[in-house]
Amino acid sequence: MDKRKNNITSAQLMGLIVSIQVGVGMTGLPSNLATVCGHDGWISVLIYGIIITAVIALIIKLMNRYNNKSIYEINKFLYGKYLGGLLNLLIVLYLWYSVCLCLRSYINVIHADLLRSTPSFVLCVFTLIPTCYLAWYGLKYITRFAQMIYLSIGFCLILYVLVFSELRFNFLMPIAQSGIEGIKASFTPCIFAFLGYDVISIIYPEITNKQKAMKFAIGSNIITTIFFVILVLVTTSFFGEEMLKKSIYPMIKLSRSYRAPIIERMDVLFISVWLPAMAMSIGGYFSVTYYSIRKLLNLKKKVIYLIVFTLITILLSNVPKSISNIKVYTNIMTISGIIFSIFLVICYLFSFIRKKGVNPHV
Amino acid sequence: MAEDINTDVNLYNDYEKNFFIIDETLKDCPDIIRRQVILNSGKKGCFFFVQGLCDLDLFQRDFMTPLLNLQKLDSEEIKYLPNKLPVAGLTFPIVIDKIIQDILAGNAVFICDGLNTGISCTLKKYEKRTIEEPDGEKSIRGDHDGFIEDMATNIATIRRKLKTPNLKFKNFTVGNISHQTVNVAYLENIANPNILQIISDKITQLDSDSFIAIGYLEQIIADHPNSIFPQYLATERPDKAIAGLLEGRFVIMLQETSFVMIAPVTYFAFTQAPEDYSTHWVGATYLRMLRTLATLIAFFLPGMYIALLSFHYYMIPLHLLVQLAQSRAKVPFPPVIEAFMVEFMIEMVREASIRLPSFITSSISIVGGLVIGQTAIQAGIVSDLMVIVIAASAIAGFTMPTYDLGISIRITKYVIMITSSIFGILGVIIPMVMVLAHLIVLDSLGEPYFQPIAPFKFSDLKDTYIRAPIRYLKKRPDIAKPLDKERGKKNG
Repeated sequence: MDKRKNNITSAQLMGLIVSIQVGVGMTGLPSNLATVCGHDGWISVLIYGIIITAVIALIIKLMNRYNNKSIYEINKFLYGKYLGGLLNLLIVLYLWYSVCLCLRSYINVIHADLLRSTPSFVLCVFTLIPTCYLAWYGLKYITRFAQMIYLSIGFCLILYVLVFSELRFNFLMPIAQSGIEGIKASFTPCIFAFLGYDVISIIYPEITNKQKAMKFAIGSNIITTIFFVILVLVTTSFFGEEMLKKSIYPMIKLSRSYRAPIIERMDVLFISVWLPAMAMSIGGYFSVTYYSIRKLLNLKKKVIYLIVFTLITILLSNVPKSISNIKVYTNIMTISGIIFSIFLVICYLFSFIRKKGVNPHV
Repeated sequence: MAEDINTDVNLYNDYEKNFFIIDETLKDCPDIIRRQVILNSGKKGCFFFVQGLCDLDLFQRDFMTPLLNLQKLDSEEIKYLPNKLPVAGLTFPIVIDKIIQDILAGNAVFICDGLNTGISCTLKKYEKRTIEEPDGEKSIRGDHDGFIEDMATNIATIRRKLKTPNLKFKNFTVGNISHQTVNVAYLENIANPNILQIISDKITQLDSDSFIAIGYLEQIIADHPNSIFPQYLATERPDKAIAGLLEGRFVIMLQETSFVMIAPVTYFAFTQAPEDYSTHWVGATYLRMLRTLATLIAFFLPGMYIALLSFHYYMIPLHLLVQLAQSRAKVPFPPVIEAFMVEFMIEMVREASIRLPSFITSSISIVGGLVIGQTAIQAGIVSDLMVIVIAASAIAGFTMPTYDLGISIRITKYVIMITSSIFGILGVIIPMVMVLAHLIVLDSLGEPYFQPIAPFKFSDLKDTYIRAPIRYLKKRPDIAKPLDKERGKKNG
């Protein structure tokens, strides 16, 4: 009974990954890109999107070599009990770190733009209530909820159409001015925006129709890439390079700049629609981490564990004190995310040398 | 003492002992008639039946007279008895307990000397209501018949509309005291046997004295008994039951109640009315959209209004804000108190008018709605905009075709009103997300409750917010996991 509640389909995996990627990345991506490579951010997004698609393909290949095993079991096969265990611990810590940081940066968005007087601690608690509720029931429900991201993406696209007449595509010219240097420099912000694909390696055993996993995982990355490219294009041509560098959350500023006929302050409505979807990007990380901890420590399904986990998450997420402080932490997360991805690729290569437990399925 | 007598035994050869046991068990039941006779063959015998449940004319003509006229009645002769008695339902119970059950169920039972079996005959006739349109579920373009309290009539109603041998009824007996019959109707070849198994398991595990209404059963066998959302669709309308059966669902019928329960259902089943299918699809789609909008208004409008008024007044357009400020200027209370006062008033009028005769109801609504509402605004207790908002949400709540969902919506609305007054727009959004999360978590007989939205099923969407033309509704919805997914062609 308990096991069935974690089963997801490949199509749901796609929604989950899109929601994690988009939710984490979208608020800060355009301005981060503008600082490092000017108005050519969209080229970098496109290129890194393609690279990450390749990485996702490799991860799925690795997972396919071990039928029904997650990265935790694979580590034990490849590196033995102790080294594998240590690596697993590091992975869980990385995930947990991501949960706290995403929660914190998300809270910051609300705090800075919508609810200035509400303490961030209260916001944390409120954001985690639905997430907690769903995580208690299992991964299946989190992924079902995560499908709402398509709705939010649709809403965003409508917003782009609404502001279309105010876009100035001159801001994008000359194309590729920043050159190779710009692409190199945009490595960190791009990768940070795309992070989230790595959860495939953990929840892969729960996918019911694994034949389609590859297709849908790559599909999720394609959706994210296209969405990010449009996002960067629109924000750059709306604000211009210099203005973009100065704004922290361009997407919200964009919604604020749009003058709706009756409703004043479009951004409040925008955040209202975005809030659930973004909460789910935390929810995705949150439930995957909770799932990993339960799996590694062999915990039973008990409320107390979830509460303890939530409380620690809330406390940790309150550690960063300012936006610049968050940036430092973000860099750490990006670096560990990159290391994790490289590690997964290495595991794939290593599995050809050390063949214990390899059980490829069609 | 009746309790000391063991009735769970076969009939004895001794007639006097048999009679004593049955008589003693049924003592102080003046409605149970014991008619002692001496047969032609000289043997003693006795007829038992319940006055008021048994058709006396038929009993005398077709059961009593032929039996009395028999030349011979013994265990050899009883084999030919079905040919000699011109009655439809004839059984030969041998356990005393079974005989007593038969008597109480309304059969006429005969025991006699020298026979170690009883003769039980179904000659039921009792008063029942005529078939009429259920008051709670009116329909404009639908049928005007409804289920009644008699199960046999209800089964006949369904059978009349679905003339197929595939229509099956699985029979259970529940209630330790009431011994009611529960029938689960389904269409073989369409309904999923796994779900039938789940229902059977749930019903056989029931342990209660009696089930007075189908709601008792519903609350006990619900997957999530603590959820405020209804997980089974209770209805009195045969057309809803038939539509459910044709989609591979199960109809749970309880004896002596006019409501039947349809399961498994999705959330959207509660927002659909049967006449959606009998009008043109454009009109039906319009009505569906209207109800969807009404649901959103009923859920969120008061909460949203309170949040905007208390914290986010900068979101309100300036022209409106001036009006609002003027109407609010006289009111001494914070918006949430104001809202709850109006809401409380409406709830009281509603509750009062349900129980009262209809000619008083109209005066109640005039006093409650017009007089109190108008004077409350003039007295400066509530602002007029607040009355509009609350009344709009209350009326929006009435558009739901089912009563159960209305209560869920109201309770959720109150929660949102309270949270929004404390946390502003966050207090609207977080409950909104929670409601959504809750709907996603819910199951109806193990099938996802919020089905075509999450988990997303594109092909089922054409019968949720919109109602596609009938010719495109060729597939049965996936919620009941039907064995036969296509309508038409193979099965009629």
